[in-house]
Amino acid sequence: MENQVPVIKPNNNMALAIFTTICCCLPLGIVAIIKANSVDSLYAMKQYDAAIMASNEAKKWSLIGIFISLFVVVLYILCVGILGIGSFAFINGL
Amino acid sequence: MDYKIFISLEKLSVALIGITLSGIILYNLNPNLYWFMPKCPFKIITGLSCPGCGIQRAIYSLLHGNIVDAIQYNYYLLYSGPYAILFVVEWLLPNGNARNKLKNVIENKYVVNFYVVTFLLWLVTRNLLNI
Repeated sequence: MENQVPVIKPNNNMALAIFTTICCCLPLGIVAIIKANSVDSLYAMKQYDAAIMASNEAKKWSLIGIFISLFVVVLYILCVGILGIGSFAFINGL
Repeated sequence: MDYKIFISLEKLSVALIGITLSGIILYNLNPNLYWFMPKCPFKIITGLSCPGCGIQRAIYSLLHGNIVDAIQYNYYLLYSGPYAILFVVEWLLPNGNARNKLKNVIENKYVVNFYVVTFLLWLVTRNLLNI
């Protein structure tokens, strides 16, 4: 342990996590914020592997959150679009 | 060692293009009126307003000069908006003293925890009071 070379501080991906919470993927965004928050403290405690892992986790949860909400939004727009066009066709007897 | 003194042109152009595009879209299309404007996935699934809901309507109102309306769509944006902008500023800044100072303030543990707590409190209050 004493000989461990200090590694470069991993990116804590906090900006991505904050973005995730504001863009409506809040449960996973909060998880990402908590993970991101632990990166710097783990790094300060010289637990470099754990810090890198927390950094990756923060990024992972943010991205999952962003993709889930993108998926839901696209699905919603498709549904509304198709149903909307469908009912328009129905009303007009097409 | 560190030659990055200037703001990276790539990042700057990404930010400028993003801001202009969303500005143009939100200026011209009232999110209340068009079905294809993205809806909040949290609201679609749960029916509840999330702490960020109202951001498009607020930007639309702001771009049309209705500041009071903009604030009423989401009071929490008064705090979370500037906070998020500071993260964009941090992302844009070149590595160096200014960036580190900003980073230490906005990514401070207590500042982040304050954000998380107020975020959740706002989620509960806005849905209880219907604001």
